[in-house]
Amino acid sequence: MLIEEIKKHVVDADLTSTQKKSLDYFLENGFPTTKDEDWKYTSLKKVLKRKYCLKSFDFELNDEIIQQYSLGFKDKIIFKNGKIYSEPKILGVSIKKTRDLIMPKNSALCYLNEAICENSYEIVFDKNLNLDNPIEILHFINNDNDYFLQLRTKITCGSGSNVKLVERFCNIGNNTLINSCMHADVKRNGFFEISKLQSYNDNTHTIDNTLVDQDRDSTANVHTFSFDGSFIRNNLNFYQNNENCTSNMNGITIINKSNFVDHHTFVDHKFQNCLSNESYKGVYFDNTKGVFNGKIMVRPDAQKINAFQSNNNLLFSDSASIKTKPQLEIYADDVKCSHGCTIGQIDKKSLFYMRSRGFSEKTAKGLLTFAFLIEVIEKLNTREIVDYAKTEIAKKLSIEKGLL
Amino acid sequence: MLEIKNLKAQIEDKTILNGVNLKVNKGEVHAIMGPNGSGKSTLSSVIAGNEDYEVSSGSITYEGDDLLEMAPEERSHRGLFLSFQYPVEIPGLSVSNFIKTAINEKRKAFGQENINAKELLQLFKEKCELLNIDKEYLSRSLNEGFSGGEKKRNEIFQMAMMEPKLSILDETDSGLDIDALKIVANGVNSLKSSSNSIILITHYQRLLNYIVPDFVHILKDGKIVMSGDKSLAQKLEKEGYSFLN
Ligand SMILES: Nc1ncnc2c1ncn2[C@@H]1O[C@H](COP(=O)(O)OP(=O)(O)OP(=O)(O)O)[C@@H](O)[C@H]1O
Ligand SMILES: [Mg+2]
Repeated sequence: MLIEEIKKHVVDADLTSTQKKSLDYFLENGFPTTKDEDWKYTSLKKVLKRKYCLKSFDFELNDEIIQQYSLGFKDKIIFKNGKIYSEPKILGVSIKKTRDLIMPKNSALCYLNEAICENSYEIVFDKNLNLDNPIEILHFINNDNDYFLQLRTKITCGSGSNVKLVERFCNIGNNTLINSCMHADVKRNGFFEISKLQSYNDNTHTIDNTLVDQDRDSTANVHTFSFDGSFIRNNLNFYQNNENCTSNMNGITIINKSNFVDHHTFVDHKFQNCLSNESYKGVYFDNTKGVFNGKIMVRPDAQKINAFQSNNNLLFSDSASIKTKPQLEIYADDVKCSHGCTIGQIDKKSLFYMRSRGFSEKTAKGLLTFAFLIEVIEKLNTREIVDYAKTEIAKKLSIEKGLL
Repeated sequence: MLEIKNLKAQIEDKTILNGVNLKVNKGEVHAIMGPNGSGKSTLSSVIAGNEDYEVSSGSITYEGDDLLEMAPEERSHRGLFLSFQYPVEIPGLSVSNFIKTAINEKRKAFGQENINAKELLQLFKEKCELLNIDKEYLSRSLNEGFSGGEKKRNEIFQMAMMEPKLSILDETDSGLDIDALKIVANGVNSLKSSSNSIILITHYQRLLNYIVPDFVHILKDGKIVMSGDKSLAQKLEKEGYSFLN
């Protein structure tokens, strides 16, 4: 059992008092099960059955491998099994390893991460720093055994800063369960954007916890691309801690085989004059399963809130399924809130129309699916990311990328 | 070019086409008229290859080959074009990308390279002028938010871009205003030649003043019950379908 392995692992570990407390909390609660409301449709059972080791190893990394996973941005922060390997030298950006990194938590997994993660990093972007190009954060992972890896990063975006990140976990080894916690603290008038590229190999199971705190006049954008990986659970939380915040979430999920993707999002509107805009689109092939749960909380003082949410899904197979649920809790009265979820199939009339114009069935389906996704793609403003999305989408639809 | 023999087609258990015979030669224009629900659109759907309809008997040959054996896209590659009575809207797919892909899919089927950008642009320009279409249309989503008439004009625009051998225009005239009807009819006429053929499905004589048919057929209850020359349409216009009884 993994819990036993964790207990063994911490015997020789020199935990701080906070870490000890977090460990106790985790051991008391254990891994989430389908009895937990937030994990009702998402069972960790199979994922946790393996015999994982918790120790990290070192391995060789070369440029060729890095290029393979990079979208080509000049500035990269590279980690090897959670340990920093290389960092760019940019004035106003500092990265430091910290032992006692306390971050907000949204599940027992965050407590576990806090307790046993040995490589916690704090990345600080100075105030008014204006990055011209996104920085790529690449996590390379490699291990001889089945591996349970903790990743832990705190990102501070100073007031008035403009920060764009691209994050990718690159497992080049065996079975790995990744438990990643990221906390972004976006200060006053800051702009923070992260694109999460979830193109994993079949041996990768990920739990991605991303929590974003926002101060007055700030904007935070999180784009999540879920294309490959046998098990993906995303917990994405936004806390609007002052007035005039904007939170944008966009998701594109296209999965095949027996892969599983679960998006749990939460926006906590605590102050007035704020906006949240959430748009997730999913395309499910083969025996895939999807879960979407979007919670929006509008607290009593949060007047003049605009909160939009949509989750649209296309099922390509009778054995694919999606559970989608909006969850709105609104305690203020001057609020504009809209939500909608749809589950459908490719429109037969459109398909015939296109075939009668000479489109092969594959091309027609591909272009109709791309048209279904375009609304989200149009929200992406970085050429390399649009290009990445198109490449992955074309691959999934078995059509030439040039058609998109 | 096209020969339909004793065609019967049904949807679920309902027979809609009940023994249609029709022969269209190269260079001919045929008009098909007939009351609502008589099976005109069903006939065009079956010719285009809509698999919702089951052909229970009869045959269709196209340029000597069995059309019913061909997939809809193959029929299109072979030069068949259907202007839909109700064109579909495809939000998120631009008119230009749609047409470009249609052209390239056909080229691919014949082992040809994609059309080059310059050539395509020239073709777009030419056909936009022919049909009096603002180039801004090309970047709009296909048919999304188009008015009824705009959708019909867009169908003929596609026809002009694809230069088919056999075009079936299913009530392309309905929804067009008087000026648009003239423009569209002129467009169709300018595409007409001795090597291609047109089947016009219409309710009104008006269109036939502009695109003059060689033959007029009346389809009723899934059968062609009468055929004649253009004067048949004039008779219909005057008397309605009652004279058939
Ligand atoms: N998909 C379908 N399901 C059930 N009935 C259908 C279907 N398609 C056509 N029909 C029926 O078949 C008959 C012929 O329809 P069709 O659309 O071919 O008529 P039409 O001659 O084109 O009429 P109109 O002049 O109104 O366009 C109608 O009674 C119609 O209700
Ligand atoms: Mg009709």
